[in-house]
Amino acid sequence: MLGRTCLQDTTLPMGGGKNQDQPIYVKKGTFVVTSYIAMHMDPRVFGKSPELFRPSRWNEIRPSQWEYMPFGGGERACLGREKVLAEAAYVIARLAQTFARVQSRDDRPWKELVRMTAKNANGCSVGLFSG
Amino acid sequence: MLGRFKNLAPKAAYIDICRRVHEYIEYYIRQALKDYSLKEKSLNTHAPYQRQRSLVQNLATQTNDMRFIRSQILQGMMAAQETISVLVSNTMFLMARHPSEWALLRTEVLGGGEDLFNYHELSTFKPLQNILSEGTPVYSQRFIFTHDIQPSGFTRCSQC
Repeated sequence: MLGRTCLQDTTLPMGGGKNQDQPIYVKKGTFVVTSYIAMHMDPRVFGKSPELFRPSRWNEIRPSQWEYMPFGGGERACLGREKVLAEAAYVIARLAQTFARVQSRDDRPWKELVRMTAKNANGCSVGLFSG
Repeated sequence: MLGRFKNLAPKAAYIDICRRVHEYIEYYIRQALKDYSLKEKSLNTHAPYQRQRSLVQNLATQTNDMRFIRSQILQGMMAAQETISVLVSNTMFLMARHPSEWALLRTEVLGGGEDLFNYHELSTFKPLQNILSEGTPVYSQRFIFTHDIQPSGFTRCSQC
């Protein structure tokens, strides 16, 4: 979620009414919270079954900067995007190079723990096999 | 988080840590402010200095408000501190539950050899960037609002 205070009276083009296809009026001073999860579950952007983990969908889709925004967007976008993606890729590629198999050691679903950052409350318990 | 009970929580250690962090950052801010004022006097123009890429140097050209600069720097450092490990952890969480994706990735990584392990190659390594792109919206979407310390201006991305 991302919170923003509306600085001038605005009308959002859609999202209102029963079918969410009507404009929404946002009065100056309103605190608006947008849900990125909801936004990132749009099949028109992410193809069928957006809730499934299917990395290959990224060979077919090309969401715009305002459709896919885990790092925010525009002038205020995350400063660390490139750094994070490169460093995380390095660690995971090394793991993939070293270990043939990854086995989950925890059946519980993902659960968030929100502090200064948000992370998996149960940690990530896995077994790594070299052969 | 404790609301009005927060005054009851022990915080001597916390205050000491804050002080040390602030002192550390302020040393560099003072240096940047000094560098900037010297350059400004000698050149009387902002242009050459603004080519510098560092956040603290750029902020020093805009204001001499120590607290403001410090908050901005701290915000950036805090985001950089834990976010990568969270992304790695979440991605491995997913990988452990999708063994076929792991097998695919391993094949690609082994195919790439040691040449893969540099900034440019990894940033454009599609099989892995696809996994990261697919994972980021699934799990790390919880934003938080820290009214008391968050300086204005930065977007808290989903990794923060």
